Amino acid sequence: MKSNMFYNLFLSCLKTIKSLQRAVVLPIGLFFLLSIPVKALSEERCTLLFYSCESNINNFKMLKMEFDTYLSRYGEYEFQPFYDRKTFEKQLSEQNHCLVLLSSWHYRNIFKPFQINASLVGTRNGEKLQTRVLVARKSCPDLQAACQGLATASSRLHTLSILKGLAKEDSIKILTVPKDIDALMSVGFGMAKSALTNKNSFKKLKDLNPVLYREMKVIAEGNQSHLLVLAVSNDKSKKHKNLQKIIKAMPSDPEGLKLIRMLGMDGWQDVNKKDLIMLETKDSGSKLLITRSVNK
Amino acid sequence: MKFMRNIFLLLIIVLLPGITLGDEHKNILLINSDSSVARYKTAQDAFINTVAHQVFRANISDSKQNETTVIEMLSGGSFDVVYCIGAKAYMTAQQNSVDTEIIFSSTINWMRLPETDRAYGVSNEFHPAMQVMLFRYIFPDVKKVGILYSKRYNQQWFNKTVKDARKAGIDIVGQPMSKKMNAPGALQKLLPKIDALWLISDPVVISDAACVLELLEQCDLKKIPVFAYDDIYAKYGAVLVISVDTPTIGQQAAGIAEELLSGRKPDNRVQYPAGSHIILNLKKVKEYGLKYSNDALGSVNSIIE
Repeated sequence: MKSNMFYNLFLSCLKTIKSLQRAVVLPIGLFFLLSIPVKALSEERCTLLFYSCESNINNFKMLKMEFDTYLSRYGEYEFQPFYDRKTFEKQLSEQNHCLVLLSSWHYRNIFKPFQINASLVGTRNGEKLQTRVLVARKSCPDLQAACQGLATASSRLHTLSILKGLAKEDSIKILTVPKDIDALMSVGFGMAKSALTNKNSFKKLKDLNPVLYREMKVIAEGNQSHLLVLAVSNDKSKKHKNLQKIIKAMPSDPEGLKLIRMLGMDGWQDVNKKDLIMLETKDSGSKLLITRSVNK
Repeated sequence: MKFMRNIFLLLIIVLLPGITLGDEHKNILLINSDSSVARYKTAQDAFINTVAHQVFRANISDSKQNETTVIEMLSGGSFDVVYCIGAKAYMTAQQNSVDTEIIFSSTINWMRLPETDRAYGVSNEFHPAMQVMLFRYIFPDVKKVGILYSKRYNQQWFNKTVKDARKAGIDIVGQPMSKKMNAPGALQKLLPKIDALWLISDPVVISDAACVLELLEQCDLKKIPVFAYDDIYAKYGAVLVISVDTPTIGQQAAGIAEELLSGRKPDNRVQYPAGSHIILNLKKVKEYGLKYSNDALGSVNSIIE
């Protein structure tokens, strides 16, 4: 009788152990099985994240396709552009294996919390710095009037930060247009009172339509700021370094050059100490100062 | 005393939001001719995301019942502004509302719409000088641009374009057409004098798809680039397509609505579109041996290779 009882007890213990095995061991096993390939995959793919709040680059579908094709020549690399800042930053915080291409203003705001370091700065015609300007028709009386219909290719947040202190936020009416040239033409053809753009684009207008150019004036000008910045996270894997090399070499390859031209640049320069100070100093290059310059 | 004070406080809590928001609480009726049309939907979304007031939406393509409801809403006059996307929406609003201000967008050739003092809008066609500037921006060497046009639909536009283009350093060479003429025949006369053909929206010139294909084929044979206004032409060999950027149009309409709701009148009753969408056919550019501006590549939305 006793032995029967022990036997039954032994059997029920065995059942409990088996069910415990099912409940604990199986999920653990499955977790390992699933997590290993995911980890391996994430290690394989190295991504270049892109978001620019200083220019309204909206040809993402084409950019993604072209960059992915170009990068696939060299291995498991991917280009991921973002429409909005929040999603970009969320992705950046979640993904270790990535390089980041972003505006200098944005870099200044996030390099500390996201632990990224500027590595390269973009150049255009040998220049790595740009100057923001607010342009209006010569008949525009003042800055307040200019801000009541401001066309820009920059994000709303960036535009407001640039105009901080110059005009009341609730009096600024922003029209976000796809390109700098659209912003300038909007002023020229009456869709906006002013355009927030950069000196280069305004100079370009001089070649394209000198009559229109002469009818316009710069009413405010900012300090110089960098073009796009390529930043890297602290996690420096071999793939990471390779992708950085590939991106740096793009200007010397006709296909690569065509791609970075789509981002408004034609070359790269290594970040030096002076650049780093400028890139990491709060508010440098972001605000505009009222000017009285008149175009000749 | 305490009871009275509590009643007073309650009244303030209940009534204050109404008093302070009295000026802000304005209603907009958005009528979409057909929200299944992608560009209409895009304009609608951009408008709603930009405007700070409450927007009631109605899609009149859904059912006859929807249209009847919209007509009832319009006759009720409970909306401060009506935003109409597409010509059908505009016509509905124009015929069924008495004094509400109407904003229109996304209609082809707005000048054919019945005009009223309370109508404002965003044109679906660019300022001609804006297009000419973009031609020059991308193809700096193009100096003579040909246009086939009918006097009936585009004489005024053509005259203005010639003047504007001259300011931007481009000569427009025009070939007027009548219904009796055929477009390919007219193009034959034009081709020896031009660096590029600018295809415009003109029902006399573009009578059917076969005619368009023949125009594009003739230009292709002579390696003359075609600049067009709608994305569809990119598929058939147009070198450059400059079309309007629809989200910008929605934003512009929202800007007009805000101005009207704040009691101001917009500077221009009808605005030109402020944003452009550019398609460049690099395959054809290379085939024709055209020189293009590398700087302008950053402004191109789509490249065909």
